Amino acid sequence: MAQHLLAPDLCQRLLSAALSRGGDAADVYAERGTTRSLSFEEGKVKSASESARLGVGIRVLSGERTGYAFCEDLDEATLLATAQRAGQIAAGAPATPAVLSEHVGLPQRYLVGQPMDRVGTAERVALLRRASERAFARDARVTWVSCSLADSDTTVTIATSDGLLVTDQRPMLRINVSVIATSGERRERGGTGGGGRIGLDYFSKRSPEALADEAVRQAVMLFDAIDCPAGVMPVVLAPATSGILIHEAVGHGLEADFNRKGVSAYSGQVGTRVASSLVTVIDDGAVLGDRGAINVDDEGCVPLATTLIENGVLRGYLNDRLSARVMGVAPTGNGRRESYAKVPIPRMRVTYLAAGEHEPEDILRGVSRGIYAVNFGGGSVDIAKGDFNFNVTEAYLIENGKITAPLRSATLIGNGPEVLRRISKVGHDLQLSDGMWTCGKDGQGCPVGQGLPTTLVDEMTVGGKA
Amino acid sequence: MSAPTVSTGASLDAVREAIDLALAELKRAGVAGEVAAARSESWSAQVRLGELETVQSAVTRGLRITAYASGNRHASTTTSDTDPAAVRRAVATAVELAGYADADPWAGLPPLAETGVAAVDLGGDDPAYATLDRDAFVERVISAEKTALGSDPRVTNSHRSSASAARGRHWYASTDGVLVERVGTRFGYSVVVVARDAAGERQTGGYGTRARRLDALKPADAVGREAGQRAVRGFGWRSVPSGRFPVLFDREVASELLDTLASAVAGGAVYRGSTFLAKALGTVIASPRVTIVDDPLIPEALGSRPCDGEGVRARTLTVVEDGRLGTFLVSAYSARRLGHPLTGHDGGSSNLLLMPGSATRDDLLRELGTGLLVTDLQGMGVDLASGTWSKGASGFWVEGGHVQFPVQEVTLAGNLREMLAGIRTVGDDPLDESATSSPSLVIDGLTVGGKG
Repeated sequence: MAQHLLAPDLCQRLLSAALSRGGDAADVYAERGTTRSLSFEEGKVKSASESARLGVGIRVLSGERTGYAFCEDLDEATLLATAQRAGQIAAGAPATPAVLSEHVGLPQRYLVGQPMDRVGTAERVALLRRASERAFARDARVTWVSCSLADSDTTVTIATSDGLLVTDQRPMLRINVSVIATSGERRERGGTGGGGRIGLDYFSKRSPEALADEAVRQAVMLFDAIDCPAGVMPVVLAPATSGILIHEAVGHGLEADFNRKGVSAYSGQVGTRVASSLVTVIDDGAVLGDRGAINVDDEGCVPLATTLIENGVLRGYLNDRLSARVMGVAPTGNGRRESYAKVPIPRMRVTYLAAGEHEPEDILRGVSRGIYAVNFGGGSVDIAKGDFNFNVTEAYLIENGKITAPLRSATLIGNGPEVLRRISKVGHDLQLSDGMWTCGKDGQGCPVGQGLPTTLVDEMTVGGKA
Repeated sequence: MSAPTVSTGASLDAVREAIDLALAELKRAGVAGEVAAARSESWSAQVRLGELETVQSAVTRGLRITAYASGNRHASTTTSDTDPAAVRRAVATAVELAGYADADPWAGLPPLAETGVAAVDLGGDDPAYATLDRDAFVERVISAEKTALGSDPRVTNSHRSSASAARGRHWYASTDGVLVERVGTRFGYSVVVVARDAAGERQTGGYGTRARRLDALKPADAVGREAGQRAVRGFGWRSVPSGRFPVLFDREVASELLDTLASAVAGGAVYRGSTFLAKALGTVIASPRVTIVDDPLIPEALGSRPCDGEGVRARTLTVVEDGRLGTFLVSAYSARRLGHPLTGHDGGSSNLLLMPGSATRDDLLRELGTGLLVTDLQGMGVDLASGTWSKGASGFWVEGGHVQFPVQEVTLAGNLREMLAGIRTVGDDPLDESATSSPSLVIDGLTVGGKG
C-alpha cells in the first residue's frame, strides 16, 4: 500500500479536534497531486505545463448538517485549527473517534502497466506530433490542428471517525485532438479524445493516428451535412457515447442527495416501474482502467456495481455516506469530490444501459423516418421535472430503415421518466465510451464513464432548423 | 458558527515573498518570465427549509509561473505551495519544460508601455467583508427562502439556498519589473425552490443576487418572491407546433447570447479559425440596432478590473457599433499574432453590455406578434466554427402581442450569423448586476421544434 500523506496518529488527533464540539461523524481527506500537460498546435509544441496540488479537507457531520474547512499548509497547528473550524457546525459535548486501522487489500481498478510518470517529455511530444501530422495529411481541407495530452498522479489519504484509514494512488490520462477544416467560406470543427485511469498502455488500443482520423472524419463529414429537421421523431442512439442519454435522463435524477430531499422526478419511487422492461441501468465503479473507475470513493467506501433500474423497476439510488445515513441504507461508494477544497456528494462513476437482445440492423430497419445519433457534445438536466437535453454533434437522417444524409449539429430534448418508457428496442452491442467525459454538479467537476448499446427511443424532440 | 475565522497559513506576506522568489529564480536561470498569483478567502453556507445545512470556509492561494526561453519557447507551472523549496522547484520545472517547447515568435511578455492599472478608482473592496455578521447573512437567506415557500401553495420544497462571501487578491508580476495588484470582494445569495402541482409534476424556480458590495445585494423579499414565481410560472405548460417564428429573448436569455458572441470574437478563436467571425473584423455582423460595449471601468461592477490577467491596462471598448464589429477581444499573444491592437482581454470580456433601446415590454410583445417569449434556455448546442445554434427552450406562447400560455419541452435552432442579423427590436430594460448584460431582444429567423 502507498504511504499515507498524513501520519495515522496525526489523523487521529485531527478527528478528535473535529469532533471536539460533538457531531455524528468526521473525516479527513488529504490530497497530493501532479498534473502534466502539453499542447501541440500548428505542428509545434505550443506550451508545456505542470501543476502541483496539496491540501487537506476536514468535514464534520451533525444530523443533516455539514461543516467543512480545508487548508494548504500541512503543519499540525494549521491542521488542528482547520479541524476546529469544521467542527463549529456542532454544539455539544466532545465525541470520541474510533481508533484508526488501515484498510488493506484495496482492489486495483487502474491499468498501470506503463505509468505515465515514467514517460519522458520527448516521448509525450512524439505522441502528439504523430496525431498532428496524421490529421494534416488526412485531408487537405484541414487548416488547424490542436492536440493536447494531460496526465495526473494523485494520492489521497482518507481517515474517518469510524476508524477507517486508507490511501489510494490514482492515475489519469487524457488526450484530445481537435481540428478545423475550411472549404471556401465554410468552417467546420471536429474533435475526439480518450483516456482513463491508465498509463501509456492506452495507445496500444487507440493510436494517436486513430484519434486524428476520427477528429478529421467528424469535421469534413459536416461539409456534406444538411440542416437537421425539427420536431418529434424516433431517435436511434449508436453504441458507446450515447450513454450521455442515461447519464442525463436517469443518472442525475437518481443521485441520493436529490432524493432524500424529495426534489427529484424519481423521488419516492424505489420498487416501482419507471422505465420500459427493456431498461436495466448500472453504475459501476469497478470497470478496469475506465475514466470513471475508482478503487475507493472519496469517503473511504469501496465501490461495487450498483443496479439502479432492473428490467424497468427502480432498485435504488447513488449514495454517499450522509444520504445513506439519512435514508437508512448502505453507502454505494458514490461519495466523490473534485478536490480537497470540496465536500463529497453523490456522483456517478461508469453509468450504462445494459445490453438487450435486438440486432442493431433490425433496430434501424424498423424506422421509416428518424435520426441516428452517434456523437455528442454535452448535456444537462432539470432534476425536479426530469427534462434533459444533449447536443448531438454527429447524426444522420434515417429514411426507410437506412442511414442517409449527415446532419448539422442539434440539441435533442426529452423528459427522463417519459423517454425511459419509450425505449422500445435495446441492442446486444453494449460499448463504453472512450474516457473523455467530465460531469459537473454543484460547481464540482468529476471524471465519469458511460455507455449504451444501440437503442431506439420511439419519440424525442429534435432541435433542428429545417 | 460566527466565531472569528481562525487564521491559517497562506498569509499575504507568504504569497508576496513567493512572487519575489520566483522572479529572482527566473532571472537567475537567465530567462524572461511572469508570475500570476492569487490569494482568496471565502465563506459559504447552504440552508434548506429554514435549517442550516452546510458551512464551508476556505483560505487558498496559488502561483502560476511562466518561463520564456530563447525564441520565446514557453512553459508554465502552477503550485499551491508557497514554501521556498516548492517555488524553486516550480521555476526549475518551468525552465526545463520550456526547453521542450518550440520557438514561438508571437509569445512573450506584454509590451511594458501597455501594462499597469487604469487610473480610475473602481472600488469593489468592501470593508463590510471583514465585519460580516454571518448569522445575519444566513438569516437573510432563510427569510428569502421563507418568502419563496409562502408565495404560492404549490411551492412546497426547497432545493437549496445559499449565501457566499469572498475576498480575493490577484497579482501579476514579470521579470520586466511589472507588478500590479487588484483586490476585490464578492457577495451573493440565492434561493432555489420546488413546486408541485395537483398532478404531481415538479417544477424548479430559482433566483439570486450578486454584488461587489454587501449593501448592493437585492433585498430578501424580492429574491424570494421571484424564486417562488419562477417555480410556478410554467404549470399548465403546453408544447407548440414546429415552425419558424419570431422569438422574444427575455433579458437573461439575451445575456446568454451576448456571452456566446464574446466567445466568437475572442482572439484565440480568431487566430485558430475556430469561429464563424474569424474574418469579420470591420464588417457588419449584427442588426444596426446592436451596439455592444466592453467596459471594465464601471465602479463596483462585477466584471470591473483595473488590468487584465497579464497586467495590461484596462480600457473601455466599443465592440460592436450599429451592427459593425469594431474589435476582437485579445490577449498579448493573440494581439501579436493577429496584428491587432492590445485590448486587455487576457481572461475574456469584462462588463459586456448590449446598449438598451427604447422598446417597453408591451412594445416588444407587440413587435413579436405571434411567437415565443423565451425565459429559459437549456443545453450547450453552440458550434462557434459554423455558427450552428440549437437549444432547449421554455417560456410563453404569444399571439397578437398577448401572452397565451406557458411553453416547455421545445427546441430552438438557428445560425448565429442569421440570429445576430435578425435582432429586430431592442428593449429598454435597464442593465442589471451581471457582468454580461443585455436587454430583451426580438429576434427573427429561429426554428421552433415542438410536439404540437
